[in-house]
Amino acid sequence: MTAEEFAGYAKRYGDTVYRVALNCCKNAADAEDIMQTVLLKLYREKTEFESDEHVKRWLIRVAVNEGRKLRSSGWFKRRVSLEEYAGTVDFESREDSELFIIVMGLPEKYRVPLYLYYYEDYTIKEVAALCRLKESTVQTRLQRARERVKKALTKQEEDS
Amino acid sequence: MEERYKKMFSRVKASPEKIQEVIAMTEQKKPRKIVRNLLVTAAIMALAVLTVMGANAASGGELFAKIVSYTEYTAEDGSEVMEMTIDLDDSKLEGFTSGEFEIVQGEDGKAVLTYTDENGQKVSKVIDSFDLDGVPSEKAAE
Repeated sequence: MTAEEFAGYAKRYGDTVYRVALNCCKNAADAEDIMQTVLLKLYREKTEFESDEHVKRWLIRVAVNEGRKLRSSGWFKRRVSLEEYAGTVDFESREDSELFIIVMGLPEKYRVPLYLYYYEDYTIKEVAALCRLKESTVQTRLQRARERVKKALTKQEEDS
Repeated sequence: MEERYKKMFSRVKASPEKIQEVIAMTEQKKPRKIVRNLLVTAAIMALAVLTVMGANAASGGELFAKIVSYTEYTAEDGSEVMEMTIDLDDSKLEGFTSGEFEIVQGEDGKAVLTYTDENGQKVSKVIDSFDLDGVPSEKAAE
């Protein structure tokens, strides 16, 4: 891969890799490290990619793996609270910021499938392949994630 | 929920500096190339200009040169060494003698010839018509 091709992919998919990593580790500093690691792996990768979508899926799979490795290593950078981090993001509304806190408060096993399904528009089958899970598992996790988010939003409305 | 989730997460982005950082890591400059054992035949070949990388021969550069023979290898210190014979239009090499000189790669990839003139002063000139990147060995046959 040429440096020019790589720069194109980095700019195009850097945010995607970052968001997957953030959903994996819930920590912006670690997510940025994972993003850089994954992108550098792409640069060194010898695979002949068939399409841009192939590259994107490769990046997501590697990001998920790197996130899992980091979690199992127990080595995390200094944690900035989610509220603190949410304060640095330019959300359109307070409700969006609150939704972010709710979603990121879910267990990791729900966050990644949720992101891939709702944001990246992958099918359940594709999410299963990317996360190396059974389709039935993805389906269950999505359903439980939706229930938890709905419950949290309802509680929030009641409290306010 | 889908619309709201998408709207929310579209605002979550990586720092552009971090992305640029990793791009910069892959754009590191190549080691400087040094031409050694350069044999220069001072025949004026102003019309036989070799342009590499599409350089415009009439761009008003300092010197014109034609590569007559060329080989390259990696030296022990890691520098890339090229040995070449060139025909150089030396009409623009003021005070040039047959003494020592060298050609190195300048910042913009152009070849820079440095020689010592008759007054003992070091003079550097850009060889405008070719640079030291990717000069193929088959050019030597031309």
